[in-house]
Amino acid sequence: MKDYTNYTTSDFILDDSFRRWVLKNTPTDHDFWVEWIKQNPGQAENVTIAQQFIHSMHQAHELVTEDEIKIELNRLSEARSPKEITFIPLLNRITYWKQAVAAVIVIGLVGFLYTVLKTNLTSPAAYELRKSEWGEQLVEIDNKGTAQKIITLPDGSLVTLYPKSRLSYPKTFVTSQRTVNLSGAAFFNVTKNPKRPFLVYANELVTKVLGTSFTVRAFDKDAKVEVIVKTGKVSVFSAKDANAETNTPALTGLILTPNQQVVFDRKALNMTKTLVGLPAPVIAPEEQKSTFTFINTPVNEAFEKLSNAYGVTIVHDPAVLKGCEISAEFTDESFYEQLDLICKAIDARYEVANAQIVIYSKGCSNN
Amino acid sequence: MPIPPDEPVLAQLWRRFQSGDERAFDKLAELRYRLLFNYATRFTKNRDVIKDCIQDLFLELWERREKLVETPYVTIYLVKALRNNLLRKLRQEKSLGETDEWDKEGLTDEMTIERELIAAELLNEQAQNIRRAIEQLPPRQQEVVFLKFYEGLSNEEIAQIMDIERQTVANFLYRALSQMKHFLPSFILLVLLPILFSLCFA
Repeated sequence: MKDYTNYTTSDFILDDSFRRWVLKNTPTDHDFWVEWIKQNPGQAENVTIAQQFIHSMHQAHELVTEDEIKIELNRLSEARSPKEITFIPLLNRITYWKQAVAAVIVIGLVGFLYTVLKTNLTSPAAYELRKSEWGEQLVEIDNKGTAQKIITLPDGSLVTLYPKSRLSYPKTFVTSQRTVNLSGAAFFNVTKNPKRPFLVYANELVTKVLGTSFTVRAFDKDAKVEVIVKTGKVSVFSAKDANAETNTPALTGLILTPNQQVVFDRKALNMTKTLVGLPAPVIAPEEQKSTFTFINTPVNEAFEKLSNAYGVTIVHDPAVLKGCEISAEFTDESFYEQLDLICKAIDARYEVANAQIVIYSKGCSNN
Repeated sequence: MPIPPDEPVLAQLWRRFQSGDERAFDKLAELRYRLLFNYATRFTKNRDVIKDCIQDLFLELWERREKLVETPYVTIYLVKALRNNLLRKLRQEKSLGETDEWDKEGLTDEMTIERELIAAELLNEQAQNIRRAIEQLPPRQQEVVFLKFYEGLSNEEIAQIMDIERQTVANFLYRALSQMKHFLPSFILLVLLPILFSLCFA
């Protein structure tokens, strides 16, 4: 047995058994170290510092989310044993849907503007321009630190402002709408008020919401402008349009519901809407079981349920599909897997077009 | 090489899946997925490539299960197998003239942003600082730091995975930590400097 009595912080950090205890907490290591610390209280500080260092080093390498792992493990077990097409047993299956949180990602790609900003440092960024246009009655928060800052807006909405980001907004919001001006990144949790839309201006995009939570990332030096929506419905449009129609209650632009994303091309100045790669359900987990269990269910009804559960429009011809029925219990299948299985069962196919699903079928002749 | 106390559990799952136990196989994948994914980020930043590589690795193991040898140290086996697959795949891509994954410049902005978002979600500030410092290191030093402090392996085990001498591992580790100190805030330095000192005399 090693003599640890005179160990320094770094000796502990470099000791294999110590690291294993901190990282894995295996019973043998655990018993040994807990007992050892009890007998050597003088070393408590060194042990604590060493533990913290190892934890931080470990954590620094964490680059995968729980959900990603579940999706991949599920994909693996599917690939390992191909399943029956219309009947999927529920037993012993772990459902991986967590919360009905869907992300809508809006990405603006950089065009020539990036080069312009980079080479011509004197040209004021969109943020500065807007600030001077909006006049004197502005509050500005400049987060120069390294930690996030939480700001409460006049209407009670909460903003988490990321480091190196600036947010400006009027001391009091006008009655018709709430507008804020952002440079950098922030998470918004907007209080619901359908009569007073909330608008975030960030570079050439404007995000409009009625009450929802979402993140905007728009650093001047960055190649992209992004809007990541956690909940609710937002509309995204170019800042130019917003200026022209500032008084119109219903601003035009692209409406994004969960599971849709927009790509904004800064060079071509256009936006295209598509579905996200892996749509997530937007209904509560406890509702999912009853939603995704089909027993001789008319396919029209099944599509309607899927459509509601994922907030994605499924275009189909009810008259053609009238005789089609489906029996299936979906537990951890993804949206597209469910579509695949249903379509296979009724000998149909689908396409993704314009952020919608379009079903092609000749109907079910055997019914 | 001494086998760490948590390995017998994995070795048992390994034996069960060799005889066709699907649940043991799934469990094994579940227990080691996170390690393998995070390890692979030392080789490529392309998350889709990583996911496919790990899928391929496990499917290959499943298909060849009857021909596999028994291994007392499953973690080392998996890490080493994934390492070989990743290196092979990246070499192929390189020879095909596709993006050079070793080269940070080859990263698309989308991948950088995705990674930043995930990091911001998962890591506290100190861990983010360390992560950025680690990313300045050459790939093989990053790998040593990962195996040492993420998985807690000994220099001997790291040497075996990377097919290098144990002394080389110690050298990589020393160089990695001395370079990292330029990028880290002072409170971490207080810990890092004495480690360097003791490594000199190790």
